[in-house]
Amino acid sequence: MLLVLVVIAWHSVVVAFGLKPYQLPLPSRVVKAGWERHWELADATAMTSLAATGGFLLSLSVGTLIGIAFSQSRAIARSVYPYAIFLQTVPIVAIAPIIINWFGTGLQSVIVVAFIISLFPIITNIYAGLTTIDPNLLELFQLHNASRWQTLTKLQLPGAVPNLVTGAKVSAGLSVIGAIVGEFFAGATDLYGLGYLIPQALGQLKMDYGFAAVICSALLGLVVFGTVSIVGERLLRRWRIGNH
Amino acid sequence: MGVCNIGKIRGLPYTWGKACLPPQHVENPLAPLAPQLVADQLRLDYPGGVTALRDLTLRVPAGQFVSVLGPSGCGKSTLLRLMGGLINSSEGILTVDGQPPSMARQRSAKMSFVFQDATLLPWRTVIGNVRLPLELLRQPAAEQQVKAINATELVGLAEFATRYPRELSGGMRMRASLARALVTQPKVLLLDEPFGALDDITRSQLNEDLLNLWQRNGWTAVFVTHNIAEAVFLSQRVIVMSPRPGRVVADIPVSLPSTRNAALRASADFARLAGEVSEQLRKACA
Ligand SMILES: Nc1ncnc2c1ncn2[C@@H]1O[C@H](COP(=O)(O)OP(=O)(O)O)[C@@H](O)[C@H]1O
Ligand SMILES: [Mg+2]
Repeated sequence: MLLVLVVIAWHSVVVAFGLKPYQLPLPSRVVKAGWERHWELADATAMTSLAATGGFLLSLSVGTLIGIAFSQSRAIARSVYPYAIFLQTVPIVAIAPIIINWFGTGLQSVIVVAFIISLFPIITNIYAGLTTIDPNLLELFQLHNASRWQTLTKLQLPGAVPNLVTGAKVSAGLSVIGAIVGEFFAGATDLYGLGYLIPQALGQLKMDYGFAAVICSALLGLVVFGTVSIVGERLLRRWRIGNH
Repeated sequence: MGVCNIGKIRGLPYTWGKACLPPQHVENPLAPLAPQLVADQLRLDYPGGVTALRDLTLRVPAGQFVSVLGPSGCGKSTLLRLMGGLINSSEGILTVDGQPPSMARQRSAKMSFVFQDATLLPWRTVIGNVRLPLELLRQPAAEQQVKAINATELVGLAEFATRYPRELSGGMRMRASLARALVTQPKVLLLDEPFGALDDITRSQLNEDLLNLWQRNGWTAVFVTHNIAEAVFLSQRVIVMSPRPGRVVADIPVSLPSTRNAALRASADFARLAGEVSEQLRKACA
């Protein structure tokens, strides 16, 4: 419904201001341009989603490990946390060239950029989950002489799953952004992602095709976010405490 | 010690070596006659300067059911945490079976705790929650399962063994929590206002069941509550504590018949005892 309104508004703006196609193409032209080269768009979307998924899964595993390390030692948390914040605040545009220098152009660099951008929310959320535990439950574990490992695997980690799901939703969206930004800089190989197609199309003043690619990236973001949300909700069903 | 070494040399299972304690911990044949829980001039200061307990002296014989009443914030939970060896006293003596609680817990007297909230793990079924202490103690899996099933039956939750906590009522969750405490077959049971959040009917029902379990198993029970009727109904003895810093200000024996049922709650003896406890509590708070 909203989509229909947006399309109508877009169309009216183009007509009302008499905008040229290289300024803002008509929605119908975008659809047409996209359809003409839909195989190329599909390949690029698949390529980008591959890089985003790779970056996301890396974030999920590395972020969880870092979160666990933080939860085991305050000293580690205090000394490493500032670097984790650095990840959050550094402009990726500034370090992308360095990453390409290290990893070369191509998929691996794109994955690394997606990973760096999507790592932070996993670390903070899982760390929060691992460290905010019902004190009575900790006492229960202590009373039965539980080891650190038992406390981690039987109490902290399962207890942190809801936080991990929250972090994963944010991280999944960021990984798509990261993949596209990564492709801007490092995507020029035999396989092109959306982040490579968009600036290329705009450079050739093919606004309509560029817009089609932008829409594909937005859709990809939605699909990735939706998938993670659905999987997360399923997982969390067991975690919910009733309200008797 | 010699036996220990032989055990290790012969490569007997680890538990054999573990069961061998240094000579000073060999069980005293007279031990059952001595009080199981001894607190003498006990003091506890929390970091930050709060003195929760001061000069608390209390002796509990093995197998006794004691209730502890007192104004809120007087240190009742603190006392239970000390007895469980979860925190250390600042001054004074506290022993369980003649040893510091944290040592007793690992050697002679298994202890269990029941909290005000059921504190079940939401991602585990009832049976999974009940089994947890045995997992932590690394008992063999088959044994874990048998004991967990028994404990679940004991509290009347057999039908709900495979349900998740969210599918249970408050009373049933508390039963699961009780089963989790009993599964290790503890010698000492520490209960911190376990039925405080339940409605009256559920509470009375659980009181009767708990009493029944105690009569059959005979653990030493220290039961913290705000409810006078509950304390009188369950206990052989009621302790009243002063406001913070907490110490024992009244020690009231409950001389009621050992078979206690709903009818007892309406008896004159029960009313007289409840009145006495209430009076002591009022004096303590004044
Ligand atoms: N971890 C803690 N740190 C500092 N003060 C505490 C802590 N736990 C309890 N206290 C204080 O000690 C006093 C006794 O607490 P508690 O044993 O929980 O009382 P009760 O169970 O009788 O209500 C209270 O005043 C409380 O604020
Ligand atoms: Mg308390």
